[in-house]
Amino acid sequence: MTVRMKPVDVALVGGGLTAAILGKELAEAGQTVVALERGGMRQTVPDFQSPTMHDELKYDVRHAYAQDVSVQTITFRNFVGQQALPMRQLGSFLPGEGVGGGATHWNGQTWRFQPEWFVLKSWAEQRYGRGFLDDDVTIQDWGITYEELEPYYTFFEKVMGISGAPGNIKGQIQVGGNPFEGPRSEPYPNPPMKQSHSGFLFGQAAAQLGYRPFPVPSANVTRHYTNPFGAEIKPCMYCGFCDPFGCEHFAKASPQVCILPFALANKNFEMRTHSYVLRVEWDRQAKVASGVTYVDAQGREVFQPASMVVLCAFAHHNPILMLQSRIGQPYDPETRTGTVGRNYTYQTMTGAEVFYDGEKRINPFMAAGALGTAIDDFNNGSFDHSGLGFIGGGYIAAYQTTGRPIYHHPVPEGTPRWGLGWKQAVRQHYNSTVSLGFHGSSIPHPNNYLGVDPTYTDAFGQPLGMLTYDFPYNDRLMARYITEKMAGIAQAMGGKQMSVGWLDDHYSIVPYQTTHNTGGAIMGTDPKTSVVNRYLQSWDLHNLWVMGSSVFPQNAGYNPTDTVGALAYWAADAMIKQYLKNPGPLVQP
Amino acid sequence: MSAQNLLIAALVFMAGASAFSELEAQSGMEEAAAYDIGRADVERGRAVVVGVYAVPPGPDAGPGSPAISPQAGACFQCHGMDGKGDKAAVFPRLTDQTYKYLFDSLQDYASGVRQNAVMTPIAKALNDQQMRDVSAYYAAQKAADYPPVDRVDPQILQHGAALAAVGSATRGVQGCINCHGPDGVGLPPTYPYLAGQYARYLEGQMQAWKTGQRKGDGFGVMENIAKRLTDDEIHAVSQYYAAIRPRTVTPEKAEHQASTAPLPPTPSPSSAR
Repeated sequence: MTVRMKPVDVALVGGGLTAAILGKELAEAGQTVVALERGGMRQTVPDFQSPTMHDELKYDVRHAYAQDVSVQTITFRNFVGQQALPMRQLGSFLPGEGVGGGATHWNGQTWRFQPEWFVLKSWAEQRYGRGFLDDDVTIQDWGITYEELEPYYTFFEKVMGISGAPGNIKGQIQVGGNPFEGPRSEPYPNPPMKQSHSGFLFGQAAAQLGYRPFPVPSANVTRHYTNPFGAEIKPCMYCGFCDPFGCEHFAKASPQVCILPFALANKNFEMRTHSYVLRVEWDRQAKVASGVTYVDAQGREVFQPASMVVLCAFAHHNPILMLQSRIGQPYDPETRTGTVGRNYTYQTMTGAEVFYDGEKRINPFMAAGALGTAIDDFNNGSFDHSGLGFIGGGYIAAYQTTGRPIYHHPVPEGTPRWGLGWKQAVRQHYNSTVSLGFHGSSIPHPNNYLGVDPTYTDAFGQPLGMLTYDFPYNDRLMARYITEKMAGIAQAMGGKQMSVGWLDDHYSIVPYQTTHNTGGAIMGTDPKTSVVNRYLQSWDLHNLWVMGSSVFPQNAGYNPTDTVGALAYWAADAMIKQYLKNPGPLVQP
Repeated sequence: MSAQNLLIAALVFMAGASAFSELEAQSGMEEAAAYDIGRADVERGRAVVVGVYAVPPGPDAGPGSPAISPQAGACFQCHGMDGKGDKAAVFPRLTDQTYKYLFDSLQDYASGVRQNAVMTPIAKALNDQQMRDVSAYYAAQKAADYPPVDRVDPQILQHGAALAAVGSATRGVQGCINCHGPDGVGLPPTYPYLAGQYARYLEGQMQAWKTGQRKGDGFGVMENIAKRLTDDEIHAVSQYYAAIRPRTVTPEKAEHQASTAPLPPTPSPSSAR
């Protein structure tokens, strides 16, 4: 029998970054808010303290802060027609579980998207002509512009205490920053990180080749800083245990440090942990969500009535919840109709390594998640795609994220995989290898989507979500072109040997790549091709909202968190200033 | 990005690219030169420790090494030849501290970011080479024994241990262990060794961080932590670290050996007076 809870104004599905943002803002606007988090509570003190936190086996190898796939997972296949199989171990990406979600165990690389990304389709058509791209490249405009989002980027960066070198303030290009970024109204709240030796070697070679290196904007905060709410963030100690760990120093911007204390202190807000949301309940006649059904810590099925429901779960989980709740029209790859699950995108990553064979001392353990030097000369808006046949791009960076013993042992190609030869190679290369990464965009394709699996079910008996994904041709061309550029920089860095990891195979869900899953419940201007409007409000049920990177129509060549945070504040503003005063659709289709 | 912006970016880049590499290279070299343990000499350091001021400076010491007057105190009078310090007089143990930590401390005393009536004039009288030598000498001392543990209220010790292990949620303070290591063994070369350090010294230093008499940890971390803690908490955590004794730790092999050049004869401490 279902337990029925006292109604609340707002039910948030999830207890991560966007739930913390909305929880605080809506509670302060007088709404009663419940956040339903499938995992447990955790705080900097005592949960993130050393030496237990620096347990690489527990947190990195066994994914203590990521989703428990024995309870619920997804099935995966590369293309339509293939048999999808359950992902029984985490690999390619690590959805967070527990309060703070992925923003607790993230690295902290905090990039704004270039303005072009938000109007990608119209920008590409205007610049390169209508026939430039195949019909298969289903890129879209977001329904929002960079200029509209800019104040929210700025605010989110202040909340998180982002540390970086500005490259463009109100159109004025700044020395030392990213000259290709969109104009920002203010500099970063904190100065950039001290650069690593690997970053220096990369930056030196890149500058020689005519590129413009700069320090990566970071949520590993560089000094004592008080955010607009009064939260105090402390300086990073460069210990190299950011992702997938919690930060013991209050130095990595996370919901626990920056936002949640102010939500939890508000009596209107409740964080209800160990609450596994199964579906959104909704009224077919009135076309409004009526609440959510979840399983609580005692295993009881509970119904939480709410006047407003916001999906703040992991990227692919939001559209899967909508599919399981039968909200909206599921996307069908055969007919290419329907919206929920459409335009699932990811990130196109390649890498290169420069081996100095003991000649340089990199000290990879002096590290931080967002400690890196990058160039943005090959992001989408930075270069000319004419004659290249693809759209998109990304940044190239030398990150020094960690020298952890299990994780970090770069060896050249051809090294034995085990035994004495491997050990000798690790010993030789551990301290004198620089890794470069290309962080490429992901363009949607009609065959890449999220659906519901016909065969497999989760621990609650619900069908699993099903992911169909492979790297589209556009992204393979893009990765080839820019990986060549990256290889050129690697060559110029003057190592003894180098290796380049080309994108030359199908997407595999097994090796870790990145947790930048995007799309599936995308925002846009047309209900036929998007799930939510420009305010992240569902076209179908006006009191249902979707947060996070689920709403990206395509993924840019950057890490998504800055945009996720900015969009959450943008949506919160619309809820409080427009929706709560007069509930109903904020955009008429 | 408009064509105009691209042009501006290109112009800025011409200036920016060279600035990038030169600045980075310069700052790196200066820092390395100041620390250069390869130029430190344990035996010359011993001469500084015992107060033999007439020791010929090393070939790279530079001219005009100032002499310290004996009244200002040779290191060993307070810190001992083995770096044991003096518990009663609140002179800290230097045994087991790293070369870098000791050198930084002398630099901080000399520059005034760390203030102490005894150490400030001594540090000001030393040149960089003498600081390197004396730091290398004490960093090499590993054998000083520990005094018996004081009898302290177990509740205070337990309170201190909890602060050391996990910090305090109410004060927003992280555990000491994150940087100072398990059992207070420190995290070489930057974070100092705490196990068995004298409680009154530790408490005094925490108070110095709190009142601003001591600064200079780069990020202001200790200052921030000390300001957040109450006097009782500072007392408890100081008592805790004074009470613990390190487990046996295998020392790391030094990558650079100190100079083995022939040395001037070292007089015994008594002859130096």
